[in-house]
Amino acid sequence: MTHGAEPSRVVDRTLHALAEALGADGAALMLIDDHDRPRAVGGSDADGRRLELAQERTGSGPSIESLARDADVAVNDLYAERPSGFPGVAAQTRRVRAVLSVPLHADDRVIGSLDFYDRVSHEWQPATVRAGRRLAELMVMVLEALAHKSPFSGQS
Amino acid sequence: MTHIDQEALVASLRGLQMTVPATGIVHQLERAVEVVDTLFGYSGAGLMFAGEDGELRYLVATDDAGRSLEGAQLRVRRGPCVSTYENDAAVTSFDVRTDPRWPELAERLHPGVRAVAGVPVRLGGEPVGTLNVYQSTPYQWDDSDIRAMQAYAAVIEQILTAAMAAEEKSALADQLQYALDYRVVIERAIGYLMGKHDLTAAQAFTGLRKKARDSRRRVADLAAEVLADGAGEPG
Repeated sequence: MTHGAEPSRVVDRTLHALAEALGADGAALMLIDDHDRPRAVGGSDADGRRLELAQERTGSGPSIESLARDADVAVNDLYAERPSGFPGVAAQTRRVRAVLSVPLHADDRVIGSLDFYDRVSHEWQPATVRAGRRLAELMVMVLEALAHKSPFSGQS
Repeated sequence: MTHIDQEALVASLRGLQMTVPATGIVHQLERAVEVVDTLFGYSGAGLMFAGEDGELRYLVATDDAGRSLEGAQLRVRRGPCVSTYENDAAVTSFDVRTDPRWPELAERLHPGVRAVAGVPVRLGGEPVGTLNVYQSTPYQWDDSDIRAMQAYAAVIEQILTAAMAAEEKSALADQLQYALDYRVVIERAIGYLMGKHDLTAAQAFTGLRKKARDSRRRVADLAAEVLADGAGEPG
């Protein structure tokens, strides 16, 4: 496998491009692993990675909720009290405020969720949420291509 | 340095590998352009690749008007998409029908093609094609339009890169070349199915693609079969 095609680099560059396409500060990824557990895969920057790790640790957050409900979850301010915010997650991520989490589907199955985030709180407009959903489809295409073209079968 | 947990990613890709059927790179690129077209909300979008002969040809185009961009530029060997590819840089035209850079294009283009923008699609840092969009009225493209297009082109590059991860570059090139070579047959079959079953082009193509996948055949082979069967029908 060439250096440029290393899965983590491909995912990193895709997250950067998707965040740029939506006009968000960053994008981050939570995926269901081969034991059906949500895993914090990472983000386009350190804040994104912290956001996913905080959700994996606490078992709560927009991404976890998006996975559980198979629906978009738009959080205007992570610091807001429940149910509109996730202060427990916010305390661990510090700089992330607004989060849009959209489920990722492959072959009619939820395989994870894609988070877009901004460092200032704001309302997510319906057009942005729709765009986020379509961008999630591009993320799935990249993941499918990686899954089928990479020799993971022998690893466990 | 990335902020990706390699172990978590690999464990998730293994899970995905077990459940999702493999699709070819051409099918993935078609889906990507469909998504990009919806996101842009412009009149049309397309993806051109340079074939073995170095000519830029459409691999995916959302409509016939957009396809006229290819034919016109192939004939005069110049135009916004050719410039995008050759200069490896974004090129825009407020109105390609009156653009002094390509005066010979106007009469060869579909009347619905006016404003055109293109950005390079790269692989390993080298341009391999272009992502193009057009508007049916003159339009002043701004920086945000181009930034968004470049971001989508970057995602397409990652789809290509991922497809190449374990596959020989030549095998990937073969798939793309096959699609370029057989596209005419596929388009003729789409036209035939549209007329016969009163379908839109998108419905005809989706049906053709699904049938090909279900029967594990290539779309071009099925398209040739559809045309042969059609030719044998009583007129």
